[in-house]
Amino acid sequence: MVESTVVRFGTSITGRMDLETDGALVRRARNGDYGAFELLFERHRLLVYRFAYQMTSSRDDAEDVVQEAFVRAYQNLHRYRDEAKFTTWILRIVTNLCTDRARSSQRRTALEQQEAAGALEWMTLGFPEDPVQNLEEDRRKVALRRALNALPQHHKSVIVLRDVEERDYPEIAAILGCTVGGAKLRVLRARRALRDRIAPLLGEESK
Amino acid sequence: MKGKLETNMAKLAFGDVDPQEALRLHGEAQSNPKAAQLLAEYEAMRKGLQALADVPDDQLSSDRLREAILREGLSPQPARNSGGWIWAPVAAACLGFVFLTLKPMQKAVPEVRIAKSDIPSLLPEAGPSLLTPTQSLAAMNTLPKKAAPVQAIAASNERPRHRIRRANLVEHKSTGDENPVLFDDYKPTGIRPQAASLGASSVAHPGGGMNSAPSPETDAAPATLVANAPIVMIDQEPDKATGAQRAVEVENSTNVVIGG
Repeated sequence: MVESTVVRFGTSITGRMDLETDGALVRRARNGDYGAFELLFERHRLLVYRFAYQMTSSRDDAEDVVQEAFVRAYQNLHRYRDEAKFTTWILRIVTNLCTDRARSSQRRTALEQQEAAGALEWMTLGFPEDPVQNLEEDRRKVALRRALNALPQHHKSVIVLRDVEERDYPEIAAILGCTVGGAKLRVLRARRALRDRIAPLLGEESK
Repeated sequence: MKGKLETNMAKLAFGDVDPQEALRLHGEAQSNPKAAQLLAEYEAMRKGLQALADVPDDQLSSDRLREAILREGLSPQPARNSGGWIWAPVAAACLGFVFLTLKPMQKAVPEVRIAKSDIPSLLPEAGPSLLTPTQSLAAMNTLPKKAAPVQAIAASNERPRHRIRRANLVEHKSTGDENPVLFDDYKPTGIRPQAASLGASSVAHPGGGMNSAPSPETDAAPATLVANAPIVMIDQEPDKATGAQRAVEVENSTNVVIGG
């Protein structure tokens, strides 16, 4: 995490703004300083994109979601509460956007198609050392990716936040708008649901 | 039982337990094959999910974002003034203060000054002939129910009110324009009226009633007016049947005393 912070500092726009907190940048952006908002985008673009990609399984869709999320954030800067974390706020926007997209029936069909394309994409990735092992790794990833995409959005989001992006429970609770205990319970239920879907595959591997 | 076992193994696999609890659950997994299977499945799932963390590179840029924002025609909303809310109660308090200050001024009784020369115009149009009671009543009903009370004011005298009234009745000799007379709610005191020429001061008496105090003498013209024009005394108490103020028409001005 420290390295990524250094990288972010290195890609700053102005040296003075590098050391400013997200809250200070939001206040500047709220007062019309677009450069401050641009710096916020540069700081958290990758984090937001990673989460959006995990939720959509498509790079194009993830980029659209990220862009739309920051546009909404810019439009609603006046609603941002200074005591909250900017990442929490923007990730909540992304969660809601992904949920809205998933509800669209057209998107469900496209998602299935992307799953197939994603499977092919994952198949091309591999480790050069052992082709068989690479194939097994890829197959597992594909299966897991399919099972994850097949989960309901409220299960998928908590799995991605906790087990893929490794966010802590208080932040997950803030993003979802629930208590920490509620977030833990939702993660537990999501893991059970995911296990039920990949159990056959896991059973085959254990044999 | 199975649910609790699965929950514990999932927590153990994903590291959501403290070290002591982890040690206990590991021991349970070693002694329980089902627990061991569940633990293995969840550990494999955790590794697989961690492997999904790799994502392809994005092509996002701040230029694209700026274009999208400009395309939406957006501009940052003005920040809410955290202290703006305080102006609403302050403004309300100021308005309330102004209202309370003006209200007593509005309640002040307006003084209706009637010059002697204007008195005939206030009478219902009867001309030289006397109005019938019906006409008088109808004319009277056109007047506001609550006529503005008038006050008798000594022209240049600051004596107490009751003395002023009596002084006017006794000493007042002219009701010309130079000494306009004001009328107020005069209540009869029970004294028998005495003959007097009333002039313009005998008209428009919302207080009603008669007084035996001698009425002031008037000029020739007003005396003529009094002698010929009907006099309508408006009682202060409204009629129970109609709700309108009673009007008593008198022909002889001798028994009518005007004053405050």
